[in-house]
Amino acid sequence: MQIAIVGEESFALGFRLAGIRRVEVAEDATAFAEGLSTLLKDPDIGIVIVPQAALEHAPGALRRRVEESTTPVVFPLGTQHNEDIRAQIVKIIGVDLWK
Amino acid sequence: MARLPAREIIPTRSELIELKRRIVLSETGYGLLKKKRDALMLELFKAIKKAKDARRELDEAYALAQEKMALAQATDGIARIKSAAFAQAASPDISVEAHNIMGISVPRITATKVSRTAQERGYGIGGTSSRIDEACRYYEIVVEKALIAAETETVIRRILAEIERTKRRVNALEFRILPDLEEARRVVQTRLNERERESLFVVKRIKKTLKK
Repeated sequence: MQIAIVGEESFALGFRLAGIRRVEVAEDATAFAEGLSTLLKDPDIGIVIVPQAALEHAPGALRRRVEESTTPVVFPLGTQHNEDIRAQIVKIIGVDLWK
Repeated sequence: MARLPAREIIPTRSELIELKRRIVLSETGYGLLKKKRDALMLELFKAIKKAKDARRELDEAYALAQEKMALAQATDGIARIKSAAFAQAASPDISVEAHNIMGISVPRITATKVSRTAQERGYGIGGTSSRIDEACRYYEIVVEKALIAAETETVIRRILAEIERTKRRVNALEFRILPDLEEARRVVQTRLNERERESLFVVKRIKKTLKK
């Protein structure tokens, strides 16, 4: 299986250097949603690395698909990437176990 | 499950037996679900510890990789970096297998050939600089760390979703289904006792009348 990237060219360039060939360049929210939807349907993709900020602005239905998807796994990368997991832990468990 | 309004229950012996059977079944389910919730919590603690370490390492690696990339861009220019990026020979190969934790399907990601030597990267050594090599190396580390973090965080998300579902079921059993069943059993039991007393009274009256 392959690793794929969806995001702006500046985000993807470093991953291209790491040898990742499957890149969907998306300079706006619509292109991002389209690129991610395409990759979610591809059985040869094992993991999709996306910028956290772009995923936060994606449509709700797409975000739900991302959360439920096991193959491929969609992995958001950014500065605030663990805040949503942290919020989820607090919501469900009632205690901030991440701190 | 629909509520059981007391007035719609048929007060018969068979209904009472059926209600008692459902109460036992619900109590067993309630106990099992509570145990499952506790076991999931333990799995969550383990996963959070792993995920925190993985995230910290990824954050550090990503910050360093971005720094190396900025340095390479400043000294070598974007065109040379793009040229090296498009000349990459081999792409990392991964396998994603689903495995079970307490009945939850979680991915297990294994990767091969993420970190490569300068020769394996495919671009000509003469055409690039040590800064581009460094950027490549650090982005390979980012990919390695991202794979570990992706696995552990997906496990956490799945466990959290399952804990939420289990908590909802436990609460429904504890605060809705079991109290309703107990109430229905009490109503049936009371009516049956009442009926028994009535029939006993009728028998006594008949006996009294017969004696006279």
